[in-house]
This record gives sequence, structure tokens and C-alpha cells, in this order.
Amino acid sequence: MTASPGELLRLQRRFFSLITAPQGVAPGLRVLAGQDPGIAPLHGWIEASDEAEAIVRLDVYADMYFFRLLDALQQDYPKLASRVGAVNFHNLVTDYLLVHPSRYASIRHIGRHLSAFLQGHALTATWPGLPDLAQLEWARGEVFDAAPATPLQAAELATIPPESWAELRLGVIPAVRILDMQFPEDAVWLAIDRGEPPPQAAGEAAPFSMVVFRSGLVAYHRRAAEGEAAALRALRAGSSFGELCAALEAEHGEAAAPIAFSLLGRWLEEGLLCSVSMPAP
Amino acid sequence: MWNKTPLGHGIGLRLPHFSHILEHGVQGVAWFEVISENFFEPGGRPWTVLERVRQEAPVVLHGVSLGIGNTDPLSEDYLDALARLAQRIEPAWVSDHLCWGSFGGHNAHDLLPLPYSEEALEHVVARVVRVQERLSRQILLENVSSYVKFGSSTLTEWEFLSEVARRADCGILLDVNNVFVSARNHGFSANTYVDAIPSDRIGQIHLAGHTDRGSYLFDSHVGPVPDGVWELYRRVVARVGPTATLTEWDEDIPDYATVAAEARTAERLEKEVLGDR
Repeated sequence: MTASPGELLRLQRRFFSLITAPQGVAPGLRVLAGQDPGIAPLHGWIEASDEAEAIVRLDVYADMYFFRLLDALQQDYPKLASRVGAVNFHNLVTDYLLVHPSRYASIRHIGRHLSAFLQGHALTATWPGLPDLAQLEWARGEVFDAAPATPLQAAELATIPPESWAELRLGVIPAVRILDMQFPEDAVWLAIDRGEPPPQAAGEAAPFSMVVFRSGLVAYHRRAAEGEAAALRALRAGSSFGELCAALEAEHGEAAAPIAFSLLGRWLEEGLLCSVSMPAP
Repeated sequence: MWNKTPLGHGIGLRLPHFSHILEHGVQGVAWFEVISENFFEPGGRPWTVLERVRQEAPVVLHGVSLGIGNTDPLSEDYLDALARLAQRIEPAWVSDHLCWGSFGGHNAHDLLPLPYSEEALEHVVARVVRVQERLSRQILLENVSSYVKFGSSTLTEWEFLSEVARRADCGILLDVNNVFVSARNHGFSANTYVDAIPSDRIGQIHLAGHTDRGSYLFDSHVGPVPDGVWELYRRVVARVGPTATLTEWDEDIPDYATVAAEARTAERLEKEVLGDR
């Protein structure tokens, strides 16, 4: 690998600092000149008839930087953008990019931290469910292009003798996410999706879990059934069907077996499982 | 030297056309260019569409984040992902842009202009050689449109592009619209530019629309290809002969048939210019 060239390095540092300056190129230049006197005037290193023209030309890149990322985040979070409105979303993106500039080759990942970022953001004081709405939208995006897997068919399980079930290992398809929600943002998502006014922001947290998954080429989400979130997480972690049942029994007593087989039936129907294996005899 | 494969006239594979392609197939489009990074994720609808397209037509991979001119180190993760994608899709070729796009590990997701200096030239050439070794293939580099030029440049853009291709032994993706836009923005002759690019390095041509913002042209990829760009395309084709040509339309994307019709216009113009050559 070649060493970073000096002049080129300096030029790129100046250029990048200016086009990502949150205040814009001209105010950013005044701030940056305090640390790097050679950065001003711009037409000392950018060819232009005067300083104003140099600023106009650099502003083209500054605008593209912000608006391309704003557009990408709007595509990732259409319901969130609708919930808070265009001005609030614009300001949210400005705040977010200062803390989480893109570290990714693909713009696909730019919104990865938005839910966590919203936890401490002023907008969440108005809409406490925003982090949940963000995690729901992000999870839908993740399952949309997660790795494919052939769904397990019920007929494959039917051939397994009853005495072997405790040792079964069931594989969950990659396109499944399990979310822990605090607020009923699934209702907000649905209302916005239908073009209806979203419900008022809920005042009190009421935790529940959601399952987000892809079936065929379409992303879906629904509230998790009783015991389902823990069961899916356990399968992902490599638990056997017997261990899963034991955990359900500790939580639900005699209802454990019906719950386990109800979940299994639903997962098979929705295509959430992709493999079955048993330890070698 | 670039071993030219004249695929004909293609279009970019874009999201608004996915449903049409899944339902009707590629319908006479000779080949497709896909944005490499859009297929770094492993599955879902994008891959279903791409695999369908690949069954019916050649595909080329066109990246936007290689950052061949970055002073940041080349990303091994990026190169690994690109190599995996190329292995899976078996593209006719792989291309990216002669530009930079990240600094200090932060990505602008833009195609930023380089100074055309000897220092930048040596830096870029070394990185192209490294990328070509890693991918075990030559790549094409595309000229970008630009809105600024730098006082530290000692070469013209066309000298820089040609010299990168010669020293690194890579190909050139000549974006005719970008030449047109940059020529207006910087006051040079577009004809001089295209006439100076070595014909035997040009593996592909891009065509697109732009927007006149008064004091400069903006490379918007919106609308049909403007007359001035078609004229410049004729000049390039007359010089370099049949060359794989792609019509780009990335904003306010119309229906599939409209974009495909632009590719057919390019095909007709190429035939007009070249006759039976």
C-alpha cells in the first residue's frame, strides 16, 4: 500500500471538512480557518474567478452530501419521517449525521444507529415511541435483503420419531428479527401505511415483542405470541427443542407443550424455519 | 489495452423497474449495468431481479464507493464484497469512478474530484494496480462530472485519465455527459477531451441527462439525453467504433419502455455514424 500523499491528503481534508460542515461552506470556512489558515481563501486552492464563485461551486458538493443522505434516510424511515414531519426530520438528520457520519461503503447502512440515537433526542420527548418506530422500520429493511433460505416443510418434521424431538435443533431463517418494543408503534406504522392519522403518542410504556420477517420477497411484522420472542432467540442461540420446551415450562407450566407446538405450527406456516438437525448417534 | 466487448446498448437496473422485469423479462435490452454496492446484501427482491436479468442478458458491475483516489486505505472488506459479487454474477466487467469519496473513514457517498497532479496520478495508479490484482481482472474507470478544479492540477483531466489507464493498464468508461458537463463548468473543449482519450482503452460509454443551473451544469441524470450530448456521442463513436453504451436515468425515472427507448436511440445513432463498419 502506498503512503498517503501529503498535498492530496491536505486537499481532501479541507474539501471534506467544508462540504460536511453543518453550518454550510461559508460559515464552515470561517470556523475551519481558525485551525487551518491555509484553507482560506478558497480561491487560493480552488480555481475560481473570485471567492464567491468558489463558495458556490463547493456548495454544490455540500448540498449533495446532505441531501443524498437525507434522501437515503427518508427511504429507510418513511413512516418516521411522516410521523415527525419534514422540518423535524430534516433537523433530526442534521443532528444524526454529526454523531453518525457514514462509515459504510454502501449508503444502505447509513441509518443503522437512528433508533439508538433517538433515545436521547429531543423529538422523543414529544413522541416517546420514535425509537421503537425506527427499530421497526430498520428491521423491515434488514429482512428485506437478508440472505435467502429454503423454508422447512412440515413433512420433513413428520418423519422424525417422537423420542428424537427433545434433541432436535431447528434453524431460524436469516430474514427474522425479534424486537423489544416499549410503545405501540406498530399501530402508528399501520395508520401511516393506510394514510390514516396516526394515534396520539402513548404516554406510558407497555413492553411487548415483535417478529419481523420476510416471506417470499415481502417483509412482514406482527406482535410476538406468548413465549415466542424468547423461543426464537433460544433457537438462534442453538438450543434444542427440548431445551426450548423446558424454558417454556419454567415460565408457563403445563401450558408449555401446547405453546411450543402452536409456535412451531406458526413458524412452519410463515416459513420462519429453514433447517432441522439432530446430534449424530 | 482493453479487450473491447461490444455488448450493444444497455440500461441501468433500477428499483422502479423491478416489477416490470419480474413480470416481462428484459424485453430486448441488450445488457444491464448494476450498482455494485446495491447487491452487497445477500438476498431478497433485488437479488431475485438480478438473477432473473442475469439469466437473460449480460450484466456489468458499476461501483460508486471503491474510492480509488481516497487517501484513506483501500477497504479490504469492500474488495472482498466486490470479489464475492463478481464471482456470483460473472459480470462482463467491473467499473468504478476516477474520484475519491471518503476521508478519515467517513463516506460522503459522492464522486469527488481529484487534483490532476503527478502526486495524485502516482497514488491512483498504485491503487488501481492493487485492485486489479485483488479482483484478478482489469477494471474500467469512469471520468466524473465536476464543479470545482484545483490550483494544484498540473495536467488536464483528459491527460490524467489517459495516463492513469496507460500506467495502470486499466480501461476507461467514457461518460460523454460528464465530459459535456465538466467542459461547460470549467471552460474547456469537450471535443478536445474526447479526441484525446486513447480509443483502445475505451471499453464502455455512458450517456445521461443534466440540468442547467445557470452558472453551471449539474449532472442530474434526469430526463432524456440532451442534443449536445448526442452530438458528442456521435463524435466519440466515429472515433472509437462500436462500443458498449449505457443510457443512465436516475432521477424521476420513467417507465421501463421509455428508458429502453433511449438505449435504442443510441443504437440507431451508432449505426448512422458507423454504417457497416
